[in-house]
Amino acid sequence: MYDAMAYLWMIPAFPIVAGFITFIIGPKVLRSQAHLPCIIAGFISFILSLMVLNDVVKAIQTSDIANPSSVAVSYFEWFRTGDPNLVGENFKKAGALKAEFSLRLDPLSSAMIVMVTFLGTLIAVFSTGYMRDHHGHIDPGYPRFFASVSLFLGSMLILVLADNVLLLYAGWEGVGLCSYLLIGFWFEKPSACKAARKAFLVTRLGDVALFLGFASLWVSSGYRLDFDGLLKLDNYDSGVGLACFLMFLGACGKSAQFPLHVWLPDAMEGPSPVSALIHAATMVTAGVYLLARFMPLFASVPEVQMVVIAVGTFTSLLAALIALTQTDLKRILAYSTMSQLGYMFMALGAGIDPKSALPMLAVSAAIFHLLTHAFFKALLFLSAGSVMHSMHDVIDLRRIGGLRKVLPLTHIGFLCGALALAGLPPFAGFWSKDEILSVIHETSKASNYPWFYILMWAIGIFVAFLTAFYTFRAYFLTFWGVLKLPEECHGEVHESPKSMTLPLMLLSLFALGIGFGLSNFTPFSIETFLGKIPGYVIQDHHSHDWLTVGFATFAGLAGLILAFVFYGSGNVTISEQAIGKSNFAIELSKNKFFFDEIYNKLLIAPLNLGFYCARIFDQYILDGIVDLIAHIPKIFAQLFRPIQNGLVQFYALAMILAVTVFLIALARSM
Amino acid sequence: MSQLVLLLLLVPLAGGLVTLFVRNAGHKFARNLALGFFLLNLFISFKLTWDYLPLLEKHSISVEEKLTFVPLESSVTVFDLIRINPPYEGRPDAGAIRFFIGIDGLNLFLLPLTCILFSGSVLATWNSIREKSHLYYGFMLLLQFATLGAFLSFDVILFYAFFELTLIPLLFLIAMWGGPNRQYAAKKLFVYTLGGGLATLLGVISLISALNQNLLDDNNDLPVTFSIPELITASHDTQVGLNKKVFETKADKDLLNPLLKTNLEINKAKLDYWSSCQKWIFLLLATGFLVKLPAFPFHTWQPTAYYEAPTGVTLVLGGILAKLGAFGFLRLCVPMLPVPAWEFGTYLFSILSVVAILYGAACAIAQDDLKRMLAYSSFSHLGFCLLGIFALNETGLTGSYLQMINHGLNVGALFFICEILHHRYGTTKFKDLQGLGSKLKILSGITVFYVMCSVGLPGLNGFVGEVMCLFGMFETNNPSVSGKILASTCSLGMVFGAWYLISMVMKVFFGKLSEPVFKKEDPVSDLTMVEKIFLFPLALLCLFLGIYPQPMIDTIRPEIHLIAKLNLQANNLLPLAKMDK
Repeated sequence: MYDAMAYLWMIPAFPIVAGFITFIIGPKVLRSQAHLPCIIAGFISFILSLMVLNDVVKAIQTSDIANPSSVAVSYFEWFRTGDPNLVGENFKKAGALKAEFSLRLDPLSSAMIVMVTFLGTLIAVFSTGYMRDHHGHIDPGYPRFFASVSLFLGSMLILVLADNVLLLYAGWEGVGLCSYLLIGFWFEKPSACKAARKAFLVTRLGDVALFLGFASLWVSSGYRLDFDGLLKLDNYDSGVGLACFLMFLGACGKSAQFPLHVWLPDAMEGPSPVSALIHAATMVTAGVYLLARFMPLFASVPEVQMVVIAVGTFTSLLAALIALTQTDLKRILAYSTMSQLGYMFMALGAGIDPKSALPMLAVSAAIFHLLTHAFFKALLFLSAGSVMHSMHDVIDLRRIGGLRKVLPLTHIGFLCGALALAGLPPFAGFWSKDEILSVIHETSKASNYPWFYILMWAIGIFVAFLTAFYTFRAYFLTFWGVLKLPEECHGEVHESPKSMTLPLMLLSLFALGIGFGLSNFTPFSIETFLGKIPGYVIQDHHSHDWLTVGFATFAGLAGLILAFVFYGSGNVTISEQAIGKSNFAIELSKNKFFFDEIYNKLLIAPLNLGFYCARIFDQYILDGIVDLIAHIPKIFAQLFRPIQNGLVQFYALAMILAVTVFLIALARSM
Repeated sequence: MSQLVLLLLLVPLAGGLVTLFVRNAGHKFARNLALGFFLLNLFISFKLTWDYLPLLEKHSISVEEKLTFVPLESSVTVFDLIRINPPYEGRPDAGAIRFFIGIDGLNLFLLPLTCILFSGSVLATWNSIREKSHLYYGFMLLLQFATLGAFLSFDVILFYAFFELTLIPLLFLIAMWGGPNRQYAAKKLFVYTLGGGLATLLGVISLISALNQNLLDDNNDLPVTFSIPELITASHDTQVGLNKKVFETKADKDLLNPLLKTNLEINKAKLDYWSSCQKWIFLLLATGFLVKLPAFPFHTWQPTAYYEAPTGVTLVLGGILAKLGAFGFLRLCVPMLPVPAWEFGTYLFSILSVVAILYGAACAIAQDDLKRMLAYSSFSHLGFCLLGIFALNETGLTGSYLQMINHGLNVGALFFICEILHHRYGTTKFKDLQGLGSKLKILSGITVFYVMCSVGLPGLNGFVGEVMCLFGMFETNNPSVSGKILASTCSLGMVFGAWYLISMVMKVFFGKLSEPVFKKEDPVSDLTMVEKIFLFPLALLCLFLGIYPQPMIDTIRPEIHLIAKLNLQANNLLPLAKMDK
């Protein structure tokens, strides 16, 4: 039992409470100080997370039985039903549904909470500058922004700390809601609200798959919902494969993997800090976290793992290809996020054979990349936000350029981020990307399908080349060449305020150092740390895959140089003439491989038609039949209507006739 | 305390009769008078909940012992209405149609829900009912009287009487204060529900007479009984007794003995006869409840009625009266006739509920009017209720009960919001109302909140019920259906549900502001105090029920457990040894 368990619940509680406070008193009382609850709560949670991390590290170092490296604690019962004692002959144990508010502390969750709270607080500080105009006036939705961010932080912390899949699902949906609210933050913009709806619905589709995955796990594991019960391998039936596949679909939705990736680029309609926090560093990595959490299960179903790695590889390639020709700075970054998330899924898919060290290596590589990516991608998005802020919301690469001199600090930040993303030594991305590729290489030796994994590995290296190329394309086009300002600026440019540049500088340091800091060459090795999660086989010796390192570094350098050759002048038109005018491949990339159009034509349009038909059927056909039936009595009435003609003579005649008949009948029966 | 329960019924009755006759006092007076009665009743219902909550947790022993619904002793009011047989020794319940009301876990939470929504309905139409308002509010009070009566009844005839009595005020309310097509809507509602109700009555009568045939030959000249707990016991005893007889004679090895052989045949024939009786009775009973719920394909009265009714009435119609259908299933249909419920009920009604969920959602997406969309959304969400009931296990049944309460709160709030818009703009068409978020800030915030409740966001109330219904169906043991496939199909309803609600938010509140030129109220104001008084505390309640629903689950556990157990025993799924105990 850790000491930390006593206050673990406060880590998500502070931001949630702060969120509610800001929602309620923000617009009237706090106004321009509405960021305070969010930042204070985030900072407290960050300090608490550090204490927790310290606790876990200490426990790992002493690593005796009294200090297990994973502890769950239940704070209160959310809901519970069913009776496990009701047993009958033809009746298996009646399912008990037990959802608890229980949190779990282990190396994985402790690493995640530190990252989330640190970036969350930093980005909230950045936003205090970003959400004001150049005269220091706050955005009309300022309190709403910080309330949503705060709520988001709380939900994300619940997601990574939860020990119960339904609680995890609660966090999962909570971050989805906050993402929806923040994408649609400027709700008067039609494009923003369309994007918000798209994000909500597409991820919701994944969420339902996740929900069903949990439901089938629940049945397979004998009605358990907590991780201790779920991750025991011996008590499962054959449903695990399907459950894993469904959970992976859920992860695809949240982490923007093919085929549910279409929402992420549109999500860039939200404010840039939101893109940095939610759509780069934290929420979109929830899928990676989920698969890492369930790695013991996934490792036991190699078929699903092959799907995972194939989808990951495909998405990373697809996104990188699309990013090559985009002209919107934030969208380039969004596609690069997709691509990097693909990398993480590649790593996770490499974890096969639960008896080997591969699952552990896969998880540590994926989480390593998740952490480094969180820092350098947040840095890139914040730098892009800083550019956007100075350029009066213009980030079209064709309209800006040569900003190196006018935005020196932003330039340094972006450069550090770009170098880290391109995976050049010694920046962060270099270390984690190599881990991923190495683990895939390793898996190819252990798998029954070595060529499959070798192919994935090769594509991975190719994507490393593409990544360096498109990142530096964006970099050169934004910062190099002749100074080019959009007319919205009226010729004036200022570097962003301190509240924005300070977080940039801090993150630049991280982008520079975190990769080496967490690598196997230091005592803070993330691999050793995560290896202490119970249930993993640990690899004793660290071998370095120099072949992979060499190839990947070469690919990155080649990409950078090629980008310099084409775009070093900072001008988009010249370089595109060099490639040749418009050929099919470029059109494909520019139009994002027409996924939106295909989905609209093949899925949304038929569905909408179906809905319309349902409406028509209900309103006219089904209801028409009902009304028709209602007319039947009337028709009968029509038949007898002539009888009631109002003529007294007719009635008299009828009466006499009837009486006669009656009398005859009476007489005959006697 | 039983006087308090009686008072809960008498206040709206007396209030209704008084309000009907205050013709010349102006619409404000009638409204305030009615509100006074509603608030008094709200207070009583809260007091009852508060008092009975601790008692009900201990009450599982007596339910377990008697194996039937047991109203809490301190809550019961009972006297004879029409006595048919002379009083029978040891069985005071039998032989008469009685006024028999009381509280148990199954109806306790429905009482405050009813009172909340009726009070809310008055607030919703705060200024919009101006003509003949004394009649409007009088009928509303009478409607509440009938609804509460149906929830409280433990006598089957009394239940039926209240169940049908709800129709009369409803008919007037729609026909007099409804929209342009109100006559048609009212007529449709009336004919539909009355028809369904008559089927239910026929079912009730056949059940009583079938049970009175003394199939078990235990030499008692049984008095006819109308009490729901006794009917459940009688039906259960007949089923279990016949099963046991067949089982015992079968077990007897000496089948060559002609006497035993005929005995076996007689018992088998009796069992067959009883089964076919049950089948028809079940269908008859279910018809009325399906119409009331409504379930596919008996739902076509619903969109018209919901749309044409004044929104205050729609609010209670969707929030409370629809629940009478689900309540009927839980109170009468399933516990009294567990065999057909198991044998074909699950099969039939789970498919109906899949259709309701998906088809209702599909229709809702295609609507171009907020009120109509909400009507279909209500239809779709209640599919989950039906699904949960016919999972026939504790998880599903509990989920369906929670869904009843939560759906009542959510749909009540959404119709309330609909009325807010209608009152301000005179229209609820999507094409007229766009981008209101920049003008009505608090309203859009609270709407997003209730939409999230309705969509089933975890942490808010809608989630708990839905997840239990789905998990319940997912693991149903009924071999006639594949629970996994059904639950998976229904969970698509969660996507569709989000689709129409989120699209509604996008159309009405997001985007560029565009209001109709002609407004009922100019300038349009954000939430008034009256509206806040309803919407804000209710939001807190929704949040509370989403985070801490366990007290409610614990309170209804004995009844839910009973229904599940009756089902298993009647269908021979529990070993006989345990049955004897």
